[in-house]
Amino acid sequence: MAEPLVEIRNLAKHFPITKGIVRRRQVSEIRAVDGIDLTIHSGETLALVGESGCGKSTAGRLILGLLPPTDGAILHQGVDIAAMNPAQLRQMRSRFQMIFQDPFGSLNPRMTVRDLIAEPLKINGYGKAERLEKADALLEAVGLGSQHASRYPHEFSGGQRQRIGIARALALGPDLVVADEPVSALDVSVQAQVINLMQDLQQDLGLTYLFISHDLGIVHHIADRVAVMYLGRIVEVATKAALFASPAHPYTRALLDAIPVSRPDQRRPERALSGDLPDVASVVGGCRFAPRCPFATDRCRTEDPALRDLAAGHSVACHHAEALRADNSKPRI
Amino acid sequence: MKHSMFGKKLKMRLGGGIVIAVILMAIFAPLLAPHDPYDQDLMSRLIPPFWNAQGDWTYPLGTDNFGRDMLSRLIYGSRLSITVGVAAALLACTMGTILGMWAGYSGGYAETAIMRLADAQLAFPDILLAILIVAAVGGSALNLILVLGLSGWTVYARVMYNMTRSIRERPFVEAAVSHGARSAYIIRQHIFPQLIPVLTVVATLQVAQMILQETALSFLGLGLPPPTATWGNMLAEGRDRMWAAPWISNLSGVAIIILVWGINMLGNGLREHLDPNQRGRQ
Repeated sequence: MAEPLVEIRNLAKHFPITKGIVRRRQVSEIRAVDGIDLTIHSGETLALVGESGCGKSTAGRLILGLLPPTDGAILHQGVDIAAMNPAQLRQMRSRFQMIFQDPFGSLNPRMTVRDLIAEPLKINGYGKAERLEKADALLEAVGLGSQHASRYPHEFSGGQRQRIGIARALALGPDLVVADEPVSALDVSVQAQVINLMQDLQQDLGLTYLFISHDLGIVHHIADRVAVMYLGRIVEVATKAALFASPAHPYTRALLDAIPVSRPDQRRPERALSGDLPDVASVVGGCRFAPRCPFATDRCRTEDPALRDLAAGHSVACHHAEALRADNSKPRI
Repeated sequence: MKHSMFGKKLKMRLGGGIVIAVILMAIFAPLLAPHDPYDQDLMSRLIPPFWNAQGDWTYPLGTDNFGRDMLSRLIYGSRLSITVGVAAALLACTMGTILGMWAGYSGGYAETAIMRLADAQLAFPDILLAILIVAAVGGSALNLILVLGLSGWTVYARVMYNMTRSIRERPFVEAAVSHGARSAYIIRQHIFPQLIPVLTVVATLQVAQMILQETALSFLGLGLPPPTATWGNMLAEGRDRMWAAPWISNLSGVAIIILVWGINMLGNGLREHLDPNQRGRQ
């Protein structure tokens, strides 16, 4: 694989919970992202998956510098954006852009499509003629004609709006695009179109995607590598083939088992997880997944497993990964 | 507002018509007024309006205690009411919007300081504050504008604060940040334009409030000193002769009611017009 575009080291984001009206004091904190290491290679699609509230969106925003991290380093081509002041960070922003989940809220309803797509260019000081020319070219590139340019967002369907959002994200010619659940708000029939568009654009422009999703079917379609998050930690990173064929972490297995199967006779035995996502603030020592893990031992409850290499390009944070992996004979999906 | 008597179009036309008529009256007062509003004529004092048996068309709306023409005084009185009302509402609007947006956008200490100050000011009546200040510095048009403007900013600040807070969390603001936008750009391009419809409505309704407050201050003798023709002064002057010459108070009262009613109708019509949930309803 190519050289790393982004390297994340020990990245953490803790949101304080405060109490009191006159004297605010911190009573607790939510560890949305709690020390993750991740490398995104140039030109790949890395999927970041996990259930709601596991911190995947927060991680995406940290990587884009939209939230200040509590701890850790975010190296974009070797430059740490976590250490930058706001002015320096603004200079960097054109290199990494975002596709938003909500195609309705992410477009200012009072701006025309042309102004929306040209906005990143305007902010970065491009001249008017160049802005209009680029905006029309981008509209064309995402499959919308320039006849749509002077309309307003409410005149478009969800899929078309997401195309507008994609065009806007590409306006500055970024290397990295973080897509935060880009199709979860769309109809299934439209999802495929948008995903295919993203893949075509990746090929044409050499983009690198960080694809945040909870839909493993889509991840299986688009990703090169997959990172699985649970409660603010990355529990497993592997190539798509390795992860879907032989998941090493019990949480990954549970996720894969939860994918609905279209043919009833191929249904796997139920291995659904019991219990809810615990309060992150309450986790003390031991593996975060232990309270819900069917394989948890005493060691799991006392010793926090570090992310370690299981095979080349396959890392996992589980004490019993080898034993569990041997148990994985059936391929999935 | 679907229970209202009139449709929004009628409201805007009727309200707007009244407001425009009064504004034109104020501008062209010297042309419209049949007499000098300050010309005293003790021989013809307390003449009733034309519809009364003792009235005549020389003084269509009668005369006051000093024999001054009521119609001319009412026409000239609209000048002060409109000027003070609009200027005070603009001052309050500018101040309240800037402070409200600042508090809502930046949060932190600015938010606490500004919004707690607004709470403190809302805790005691505006008119009391106005009375205190005018009693101390004296009544002049400028003082009235300053006092009413400074006491009215809290309404705007609270509305703008809440709207700014909700807008700044919307994804398109985050998108602008991700493109490298500065705060000034975001406020100018993404936040302020969303506030304008609400601002228009609040400001319109506020003008009516300001006019009422100016009238109240004048009535209490804290506005412009007599003999200046203001509707509040005329109301106060007529008070002593409510039984002998009821038209003095009544006519100025009716003038105030018509203007305030017109402004409120315009404001309500605008609100319904600009509220997306009301669109398409008639």
